[in-house]
Amino acid sequence: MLFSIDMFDENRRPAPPTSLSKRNRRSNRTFRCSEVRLAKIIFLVVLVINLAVPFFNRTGPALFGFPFFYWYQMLAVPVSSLLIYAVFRAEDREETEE
Amino acid sequence: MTYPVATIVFVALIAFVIVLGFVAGRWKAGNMDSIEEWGLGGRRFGTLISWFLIGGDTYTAYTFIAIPALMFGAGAIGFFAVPYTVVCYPILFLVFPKLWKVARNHGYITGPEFVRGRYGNRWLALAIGVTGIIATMPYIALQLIGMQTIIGALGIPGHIPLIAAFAVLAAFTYTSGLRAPAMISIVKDSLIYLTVIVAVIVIPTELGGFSAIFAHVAPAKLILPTPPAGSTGAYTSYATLALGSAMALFLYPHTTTGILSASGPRVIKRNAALLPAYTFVLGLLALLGFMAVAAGLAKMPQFAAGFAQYHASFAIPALMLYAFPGWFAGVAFAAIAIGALVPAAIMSIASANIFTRDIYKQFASATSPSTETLIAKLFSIVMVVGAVLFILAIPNTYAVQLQLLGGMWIIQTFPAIAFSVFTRFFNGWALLIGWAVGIVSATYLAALNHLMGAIWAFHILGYTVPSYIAFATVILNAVIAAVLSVPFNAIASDRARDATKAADYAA
Repeated sequence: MLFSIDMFDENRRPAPPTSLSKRNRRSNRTFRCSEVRLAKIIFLVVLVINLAVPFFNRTGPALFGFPFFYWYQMLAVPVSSLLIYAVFRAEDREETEE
Repeated sequence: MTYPVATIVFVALIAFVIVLGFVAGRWKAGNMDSIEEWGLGGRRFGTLISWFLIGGDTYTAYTFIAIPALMFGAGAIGFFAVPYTVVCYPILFLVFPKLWKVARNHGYITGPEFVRGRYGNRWLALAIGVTGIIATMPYIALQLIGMQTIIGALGIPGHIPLIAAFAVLAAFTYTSGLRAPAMISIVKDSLIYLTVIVAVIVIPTELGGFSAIFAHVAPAKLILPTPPAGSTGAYTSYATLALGSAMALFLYPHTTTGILSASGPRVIKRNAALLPAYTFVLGLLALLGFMAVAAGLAKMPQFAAGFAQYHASFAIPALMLYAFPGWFAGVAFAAIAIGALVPAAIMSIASANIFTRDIYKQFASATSPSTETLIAKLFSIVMVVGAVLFILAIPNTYAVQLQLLGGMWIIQTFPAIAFSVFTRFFNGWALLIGWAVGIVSATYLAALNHLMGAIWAFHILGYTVPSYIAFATVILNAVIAAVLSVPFNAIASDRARDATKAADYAA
C-alpha cells in the first residue's frame, strides 16, 4: 500500500535533550516560553500582510506581467506558510523540553 | 455527444474513483459498526492523508467554478479567496489542536458535542448542531450544481447522470464512511494540481503571456476601486470578507470532521503550514477567470448556449474546452467533478455525525454503539437525497443564496466553539442568546440586501464602513455573550457542569 493511514507516528515528539543541567534547563525554558509568545505575534504579522488592502491595492510595480495586487498576494501565500511553520517549530522545541 | 473524447476520459475517471470509494472501506479496516471508525476514520490519518483530506474538503468543486466565475464577472474582489484561505490557518493552528485533544479525551466526534460537554447545555449544543446541518445542506447542493455545470458543458443532457453519480456517492459513503473521501481526495487533488499547472503554462502561452491577459481586463475590475471620501469602501469589504470567511471555514461540520480525523495535534499544526499550497493553486485558478475574459469566450458562438444557461459559472468549463485537447479537457472536468464528490461525501458524513450525537441521542433515545452508527449511515443518505431533490425542485439561485446565508449562520458558532477551548468565562445560556442575536441580525441584513450581497455598509461615527455581514454580526454575538455571561454566572453559574478538565486542552 502506497499510503497507509498511520504511516508515521507523527505525534510522537523527538526525545528530550538530556545533556543540560537542571538549572540550565529552567533558564532555557523561560527563554523558550517567551519565544512561543513571540511566535504567536507572528500570526498577527500573517494577518497584517494578508489583509493590508490599502497597501497592496495598486497595479504597479508589475512582476512577470502580474499587477502588484496579484503577485503580492500570491507571494504572501508561501511567506505566510513559512511563518506558520516557524511557529510550529518554535512551539515543538519548547514542548519537547517540558 | 458534443465532445466524445473528453466524455470518455471523464466517465472513465469518475468510474475509477467510484470503485476506489467502495474499496476504501477495507483500507486499514476498523470496526465499521463504530461511529468513530465510520464517521471519523478512527482518528488515524497522518500528515499526508490529512493534507489531502482537509484540502479536498475545503477547496471544492464549487470553489473551483465560483471563484474564477467571480473574477470573470466582478474582477479583483473575487481574489479575496486568496487572503481568506491564508488567514484561516493561524485560526486552525490556535484553536483546533486543542479541540482535537479534548475531543479525543472525551470521545467527541462533533463540535456541538464539545460545547455540550463544556457547558452541560444540550440546547446550546442543539442550536450549534442544527446551524451546522442547515448551513451544510446548500453547500452540498452547490457541489451538485458544480457537477451539473461540468456534465452540461460536456453536452450530456438531463438530470440522470447527476442523479446516478450521487446515488453511487450515497452508497459508498454508507459502506466506507470517511475512508472513501479520504482515499478519493488523493486522486482529486492530484488531478487538480495537474490541471492547474498545465492550465497556467498552456493557456497564457496561447493568449500571449500574463501581461496580455491582464491587459484585457477592464481597469475598473483589475484592482479594487479607491474608496470615496468618508468611507473605507472596498478595502474593508475585501478584508472582512477574507477574515469572516476564514473564521467560519473550520466551523462547518465537514471541515471539523476532516480535522478531528487527524491522528493528533501535531498533524493539525503541521498541516496549518502545509495547506497554503492549495491556496496558491486557488490563486492561479482564480486567474483563469481573467484568462476566460482575455480569450473572449463570452462572444464565441459555440459557448453561447452554455453562458446563457450557466452564466459566469460557465467561464471555467468553456476555457478548458477552448484551450485543451479533448482528452485533457476530460481530465480537467473529472478533477472538478471529483472535487464535488469528495466534499459532498464528507458533508453528509459530518451532518450524520451531528444528527446522531447531538440530536437523536440527546432528544430521542440513547442507543447502542452499533445502532448509533446505523442511524448515522442512514442519515448520510438522507442528506445526499435531500440535496439532489433540492437541486431538482428549486432554482439554482436559491442554493447560492442559502449558501450565502449559511456562511453568515455558521460563523455564529465561533464564540461557543473557538473561544471555549481557551476559556470557561462564558455562560452557556449567554452564548445561546448571543448565537440567536447573531443569526437574526445576519439574516435580517442579508434580507435587506435581497439575499444578493454579503456586504452591508455600516455607519460608525460619521464614517461608512462596509463589512461582510457575517463578520459584523459575529462581533455583536460575542459582545452580547460576554456581557450577559457576567450576571448569568453571578446568579446561576453553570461552571460546575463543565465535563472537561484544564488538562484536556494542553496541546
